[in-house]
Amino acid sequence: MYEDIRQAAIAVSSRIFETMFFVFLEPIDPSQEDPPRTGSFVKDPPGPLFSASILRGEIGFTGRYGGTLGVYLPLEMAQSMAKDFLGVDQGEVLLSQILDMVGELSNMICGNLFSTLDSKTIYHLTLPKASKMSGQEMDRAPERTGLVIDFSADDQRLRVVIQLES
Amino acid sequence: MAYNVLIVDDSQTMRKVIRKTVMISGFELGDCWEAGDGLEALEIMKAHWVDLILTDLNMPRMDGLEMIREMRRDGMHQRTPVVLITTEGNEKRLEEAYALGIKGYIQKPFHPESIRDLLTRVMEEYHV
Repeated sequence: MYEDIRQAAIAVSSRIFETMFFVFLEPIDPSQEDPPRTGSFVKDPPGPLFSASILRGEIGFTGRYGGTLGVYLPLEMAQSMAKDFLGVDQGEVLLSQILDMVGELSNMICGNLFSTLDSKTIYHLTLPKASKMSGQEMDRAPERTGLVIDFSADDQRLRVVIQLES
Repeated sequence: MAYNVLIVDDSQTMRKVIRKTVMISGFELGDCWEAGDGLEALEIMKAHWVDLILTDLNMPRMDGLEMIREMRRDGMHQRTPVVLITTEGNEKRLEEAYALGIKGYIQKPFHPESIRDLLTRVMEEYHV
């Protein structure tokens, strides 16, 4: 089950970043990392991986599966994406706009993921929310458990975490 | 002929992107209003002539489907074309939306061409 979700999450995330943000994601192969940090159900991956300010978008879902989906990306990368997304200069992009975009990003990934996995089951999504956190906070966050998928893009690392309720 | 469009989405950023995408797609855009949920959209519809509504589904206070139901109860907006622009691709929810009379559906993420092609077709059919 986790492998199906992982493959679908990689495909959906890559398509959304490419289509909406012209950002090309490269999934990080967990077998190439020592010790493995991502790619399967990781109970406690070692950190720290993220040192800069991180923006987190999160959305809950209920349906055949229930849980939360989180997207984590460096602030600098999100600023650049928001600038392109909105077609404005970087100085004009407000943090509230960037957070709104990151929340919408989690919404797009989650909605597309479950319609890809199972288009016949109705999934109810919560309203997305977004917040700013430090890399250290991220390493202490409960999101360290779950299906963790890391990507690289433009020499930066970003993460999608899917936590399923038992 | 330019069309007055109402964009309904709880994400302000997404509303701006949809507006920009519609503008660059080549669709003839007249006045354009934005609403953050269905209730706000219904208020705008009372005050302005709207030719076409682009709406998300999942929104606070009043979601997209409930907004369409309210529109259909109101004699003024029974025929106003509605297009969904949403992340969801669930067949049952789409069937429900089509049963309420939506004219089309675009899943986010989207390309400008897909918006232009759908909106042009919808407005041509509306005039026929």
